Amino acid sequence: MTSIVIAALAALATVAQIGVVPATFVNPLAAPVLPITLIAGWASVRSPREVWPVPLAAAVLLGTVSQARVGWYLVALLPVVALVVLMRGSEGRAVPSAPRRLAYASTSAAAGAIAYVIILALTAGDARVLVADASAILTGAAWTGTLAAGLAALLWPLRAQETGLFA
Amino acid sequence: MTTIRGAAWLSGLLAVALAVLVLSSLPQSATLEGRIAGIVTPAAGALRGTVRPVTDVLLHAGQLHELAAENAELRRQLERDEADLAALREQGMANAQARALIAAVGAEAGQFITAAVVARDPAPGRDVLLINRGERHGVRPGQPVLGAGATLVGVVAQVEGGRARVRLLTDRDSAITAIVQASRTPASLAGTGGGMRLELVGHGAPVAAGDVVLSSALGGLLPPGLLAGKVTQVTSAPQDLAETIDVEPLSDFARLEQILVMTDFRPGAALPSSAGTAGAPP
Repeated sequence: MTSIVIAALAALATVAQIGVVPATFVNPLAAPVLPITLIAGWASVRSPREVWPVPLAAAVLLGTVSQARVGWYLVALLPVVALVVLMRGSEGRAVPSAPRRLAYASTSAAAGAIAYVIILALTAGDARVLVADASAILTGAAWTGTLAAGLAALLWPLRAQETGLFA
Repeated sequence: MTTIRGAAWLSGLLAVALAVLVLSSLPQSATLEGRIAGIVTPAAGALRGTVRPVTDVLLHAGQLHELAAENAELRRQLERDEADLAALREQGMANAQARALIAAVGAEAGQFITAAVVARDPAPGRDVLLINRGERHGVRPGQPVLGAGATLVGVVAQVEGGRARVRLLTDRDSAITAIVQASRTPASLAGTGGGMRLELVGHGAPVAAGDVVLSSALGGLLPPGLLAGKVTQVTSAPQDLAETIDVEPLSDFARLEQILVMTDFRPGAALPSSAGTAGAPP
């Protein structure tokens, strides 16, 4: 059930990325990457394993309207997943705290957005954009991180909670 | 344990990505992508249309002062243009008579089809549009694409059955032969990613800010005389062999919704008799 919900959210986020984001941000590099927001926000609060449909659905939908291949989109969306897995793994058995999880979401999303742009720019054979539009890329990363933190805050009541024997 | 499971799961996703990359070289993958895009692009267009009132407000909220100044400037411009309009009416009448004469001798009119911009390439660093006309509508790679005011906005880069991709002049992979209207200086108009630059213009060439840049028929890849941009800045250093000439588009590429494709143009073939009808000077 969770997979169906998150797959639907992934499709919605990606369609919004294709249809709405270009109409809202003049420079597409300064725009947030909504699928990354969803991955980071959800995986930080719930479980990283639950977000597997997001990179798959987003890559397929983005790749079909783009000159970049579906596989490259999938590769570009993996760093954010890896970052969240690492951050959640480093948490150990500590009691989850909201500020920490929000920090995970924003940091992994921002770093993931930068990695996403770098990978797609390199696969397009255009590394110049990384230098020429560095400020726009950082703005986009900041947007992505902020939205991911907001999503994590929204999802906080739905966080996976370990329950005791009599809870 | 959690980290190991996460790493295994991540490796699985990476393996899927690599498999998809390998499979994407198969011809069937293009057909599948086309089918999925046939669903995605209308959905994205519908969503964009629904939220457009909101996005327009968000886009222009911080520009009210600029818009007021622009409005005042446009009013002054309008007054100046009204004076020019009378002269143009006279010229228009002459043109109408010329067109009637051409029609009488059976010359073909330029063929255009309108197309809607259904999506923009979401990959960073690519100025590419997806339009809802393709091979079955007569669209072919290399055909010029015009925007508002019959200005050249790009060239068809890739065609599928009912869709095509248009590489905008601002795309970093775009380069067309061009000519500066006032001085007739030939050059290459290359995209810089969001802007354009005139290249291969020698030091001291008679090019100034405000000069209009037109497409050139040199090489036969484009019809001549299509409005392509306006020079905004010319900078040159004594040690440089060529000038650095920045060019801005004549229409806002970020807001393109409807475009025209010159379907009667065949790149490399003999130029159509009507090539100069799309914004070409007499």
